[in-house]
Amino acid sequence: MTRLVESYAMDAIEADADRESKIAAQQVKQFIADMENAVAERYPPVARARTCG
Amino acid sequence: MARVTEVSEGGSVPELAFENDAGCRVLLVDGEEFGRRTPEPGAQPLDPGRGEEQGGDSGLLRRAGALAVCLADVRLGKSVTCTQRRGRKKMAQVTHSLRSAGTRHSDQSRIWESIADKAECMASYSETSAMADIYEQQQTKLKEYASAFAPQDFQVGAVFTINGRVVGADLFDAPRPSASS
Repeated sequence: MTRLVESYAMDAIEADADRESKIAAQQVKQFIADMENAVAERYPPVARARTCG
Repeated sequence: MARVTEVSEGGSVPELAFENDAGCRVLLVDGEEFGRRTPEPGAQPLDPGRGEEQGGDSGLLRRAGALAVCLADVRLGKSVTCTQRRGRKKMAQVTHSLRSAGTRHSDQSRIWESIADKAECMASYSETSAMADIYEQQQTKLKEYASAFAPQDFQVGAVFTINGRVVGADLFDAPRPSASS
């Protein structure tokens, strides 16, 4: 996990990211929703399994 | 058993040989550096943008910037480590190479250019155009970031945003207890 974070941290340093900004929860939720929709569209059995589960 | 070796005694910057005697399929995941090399005494600093045409000793030194494959399910030791991220540009180069020539070559000169750009942007310097040198020089900031993100119990992945934009996501192959890193 440390290594993974450092990998993205390098991009954040390069981009001079705003480290004080609030957690981007809404963007993350939207991203996950988009991914789930994409999976449901391409792999309907997976979406059905989630619904049944 | 599976092995990753040089393609010849002299080696080749963008290529490694992969031999699989394991009797099963092995997933090769794009990694970072392999066979990092320290410049010989007296070696001239390299111009990161020039690529392989410099030849000679420079060609050897440039191996330090070589991007290598690593094995997701075969333990290889410390010299080969996986980074969970993939370089989209490099993948595009390999895809182009496959379509145009039927080979899996990346454009090593562009990779070095990319590393040089990053080093310049971050006011870092590497005699061998090695990403590892940039990481070493940014250790303080990197540790600050790493310590700010505590692993969660049974975490199954992570989504990363920079300046409000999603820049990447990684899924773990299994839920991880918080003690692992």
